[in-house]
Amino acid sequence: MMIQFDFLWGLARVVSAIMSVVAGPVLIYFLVVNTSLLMLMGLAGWEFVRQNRRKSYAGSEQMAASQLGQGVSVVVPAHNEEVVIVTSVQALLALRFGRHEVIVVDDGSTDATFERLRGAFDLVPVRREIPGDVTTRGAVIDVHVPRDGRTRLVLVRKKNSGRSDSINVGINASIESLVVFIDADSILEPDALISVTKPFADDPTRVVATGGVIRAINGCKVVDGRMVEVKLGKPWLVRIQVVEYLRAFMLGRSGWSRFGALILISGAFGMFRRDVLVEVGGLDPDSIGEDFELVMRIHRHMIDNGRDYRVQFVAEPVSWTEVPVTATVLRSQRKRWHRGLWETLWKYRGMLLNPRYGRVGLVAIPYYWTFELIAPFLELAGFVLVVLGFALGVVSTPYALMFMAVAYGYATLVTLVAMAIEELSFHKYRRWRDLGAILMAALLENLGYRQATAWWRLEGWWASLRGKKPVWGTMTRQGFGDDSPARASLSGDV
Amino acid sequence: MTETVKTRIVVADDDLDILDLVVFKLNQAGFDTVAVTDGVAALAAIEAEPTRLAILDIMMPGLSGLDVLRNLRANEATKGLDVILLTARARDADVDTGFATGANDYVIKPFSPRELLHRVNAVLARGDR
Amino acid sequence: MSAGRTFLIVGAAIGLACASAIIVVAIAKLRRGRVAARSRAMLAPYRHSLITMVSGEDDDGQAREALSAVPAPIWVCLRPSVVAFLPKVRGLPADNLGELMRAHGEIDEATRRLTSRSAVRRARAAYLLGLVRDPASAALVLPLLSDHVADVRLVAARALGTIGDPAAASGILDALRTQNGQIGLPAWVAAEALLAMGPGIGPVLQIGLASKDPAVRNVCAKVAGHGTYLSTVPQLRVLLATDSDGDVRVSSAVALGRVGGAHDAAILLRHTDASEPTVLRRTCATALGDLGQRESLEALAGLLADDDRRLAERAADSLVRIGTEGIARLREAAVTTPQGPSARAAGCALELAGLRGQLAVSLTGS
Repeated sequence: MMIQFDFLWGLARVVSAIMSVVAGPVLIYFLVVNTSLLMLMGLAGWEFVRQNRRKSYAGSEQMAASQLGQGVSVVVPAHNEEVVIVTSVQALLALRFGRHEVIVVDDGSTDATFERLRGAFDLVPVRREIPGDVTTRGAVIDVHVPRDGRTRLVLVRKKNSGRSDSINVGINASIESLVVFIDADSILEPDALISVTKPFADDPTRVVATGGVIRAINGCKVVDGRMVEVKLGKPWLVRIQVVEYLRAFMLGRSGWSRFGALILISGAFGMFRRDVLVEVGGLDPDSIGEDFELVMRIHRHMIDNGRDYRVQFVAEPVSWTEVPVTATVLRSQRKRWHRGLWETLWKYRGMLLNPRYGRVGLVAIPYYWTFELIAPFLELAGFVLVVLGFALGVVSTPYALMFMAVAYGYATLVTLVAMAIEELSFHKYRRWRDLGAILMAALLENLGYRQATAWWRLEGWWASLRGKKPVWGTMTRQGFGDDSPARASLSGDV
Repeated sequence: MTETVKTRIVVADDDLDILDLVVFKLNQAGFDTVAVTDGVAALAAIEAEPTRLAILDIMMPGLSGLDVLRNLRANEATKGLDVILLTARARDADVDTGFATGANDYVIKPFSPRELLHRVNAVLARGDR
Repeated sequence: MSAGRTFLIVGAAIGLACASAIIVVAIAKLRRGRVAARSRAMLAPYRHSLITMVSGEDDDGQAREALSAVPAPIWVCLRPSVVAFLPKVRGLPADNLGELMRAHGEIDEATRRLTSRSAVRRARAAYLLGLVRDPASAALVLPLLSDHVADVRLVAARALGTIGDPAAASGILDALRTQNGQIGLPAWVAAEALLAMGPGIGPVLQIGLASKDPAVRNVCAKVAGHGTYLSTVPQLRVLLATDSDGDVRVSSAVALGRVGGAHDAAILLRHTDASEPTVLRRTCATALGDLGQRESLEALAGLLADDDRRLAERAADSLVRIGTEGIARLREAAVTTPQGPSARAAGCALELAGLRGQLAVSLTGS
């Protein structure tokens, strides 16, 4: 009893000592984070308003029927995707666009992926040579095309070597001047290619990469690879993720794009100029932060070579993808993401605060270091300190409440503003109950979810620092494997 | 010539305006028109009852008009079905592909409804021979 | 100020802001629902008239009259449907739709808005005039090609293309000039607009091909190849051989392949040489297939073994397109040194040609 008391008293003194130093900075940190998010959201909201008004004269039918515009190669890396691959490819071939081809790269699937495709599209082998524009590792086994010789589908089978290497093979096999990577289980909006190609079409010489918004598909009604009805998934874990995606992906990135310093395009939907991809050498198969690392490399390459370029974000929903349904899968996903973030930021540390790299180096990268990389550490530390301090009586009630308000209340506000902008611009969620659920999820997010994901991110970072080897290609698949019950219900409610 | 049975035409397009327009035009001309908004429904409608002609948009989500056409041509029962593609895809390569896949005619949007009617009649007349 | 009070103020501010956000969402949703339902109800009786008119079944003009007489508040709701039909039909129905728009003062309104201070209004107005395709509006939209907002220039160019008045062609070429570091107009937008203007622009193209601005030369070359502007061929030859801009040379090669004559085969062949840039070599290889001349057979067959495998692919494809003799040459290449690069390229092209049914048909070159 006495020992415990001593221990607690000692702890209280430690906490008190720390708090006397960090009390102010902690509050300031959260204020700054959430205010910056709010500002980015403001920029994004403005961007959406602009884009929406543009729609009244954009003439998307003309773009779809365009004769001279650039063509797009859709690269789909696939590993054991027998369940969705045929529907997915059919939907991709049916996208509204003037000229595009679909390249499926079968990354050594051990299931019926190939057989299903062969049956559905009547594939026959051809002796097509795949150029080695980008260095790849997994050897190509063979190439198949549909028997009619006209459907622009190419299936490249190769030895298993992971998603990034498969995409690189796809880049090599692609013919068109623009390349987009999408995952086999993503659903695209019918006009997705038109939307994401627009920046290239409007500014062909400068734009080198664009990215589109990704949304959570869980719970939505999908028929034949086509989104029929947007609904919110039932599990609260899914709902909170929807809210997260809404906030972080859509708005954070759109704001950055407007500011001219977009450094992160989500891997689930990014479009690049093929020649630039070849110049920088495609994706790095050894990097966990695949897409992020690629965009950073492009930034560095273009700036180093003094090229006038732009990376642009398209503020329209274009792609739907499944989000993890269980905490286990979510945890491994967040660990991997944060690890990728860390490793990439570290790899490009030369750009940090380097004036040579303009806004990217002086604003975007430091922001990511502070508010994305170190953030979970600061968040958790602040949270633990305040809670502990309050329990031990060294932190006053007003301060504790203030902390909650600034850290979580303000964060909720940011999320609600995101919701409002979404409702005003895209209003994809039609049902009142879905909106209500999103509202609840915005609140619930701060009651444990944030803290959990912060911890998981730190786990990922720690794993990287300890030099632990990442569990590679299989890890991604396991994730989707766990989700297969969810996937099977893609045509119904989760 | 009294016809007790109207000629059945299936029209598939995800654009409701086009659908309304074409269906109205054909109905006024005395056809029995069935409207659907996607490829799967088109195939179902064609197989449901004896159909003489299908007018298909190409760029429909899910099963495209070309997929439907391929399906029809591969199926013994519908191999000889007359098909007109009505689409915004205007490149030479697209027209080539359309005919190569087995279409009887290819109408590019924006189109003249009157001309479409003429082409429908022409295709049907050729088929009768 | 005490800590407690600070908290209350901050807390209240945040709480209030949250509540406002929620209210905004709710109101937006409510409004949208009501507006949608209301306009559907209002429009129902007019939909039939609209369809009658648009399908050309309005022989007695009753539908047109009914629609022209629609009162202003209902017209506002009907308008989007009318505008939606404009790019989908042509012929008499399109003219009728245009007349309908005019009857409701939309054309006048749009004309006024061309000079509005709001860029969005200018763009929308230009777009509308482009949809209506009244030749008289071309002159009105033309000035917008030098608008300082890029979007407006783009819409104006497209509109001029759909209106189709060849008199606007030189204006479009002028608009390609880079202004204040911004490109005036994307090349392909200009090219498509010009293409839509028809054969009348031949002289303008000839002038454009001699322009000092490479962007202008490039667009003219692109257009020359897609239409039948045979008068431009001599210039295209010169540009292909000597232009300083790589894109211009590529576009000229493509164009020559389409509109060139028999002696252009030699010219294109020359530029498949290894000393030329990769893109140009590949383009010339494809262009030779478009041209379809027997004289190219030897050289194309030679390219099958080239280090650049994409080039070999294109050369093989061109041989298929030239016809029976090209295919025969491919067959030869496929059997000599069976594992060699020529054989691989030839084999693949023959396979694809077989799939497409091109082997049975004899396509003769000109």
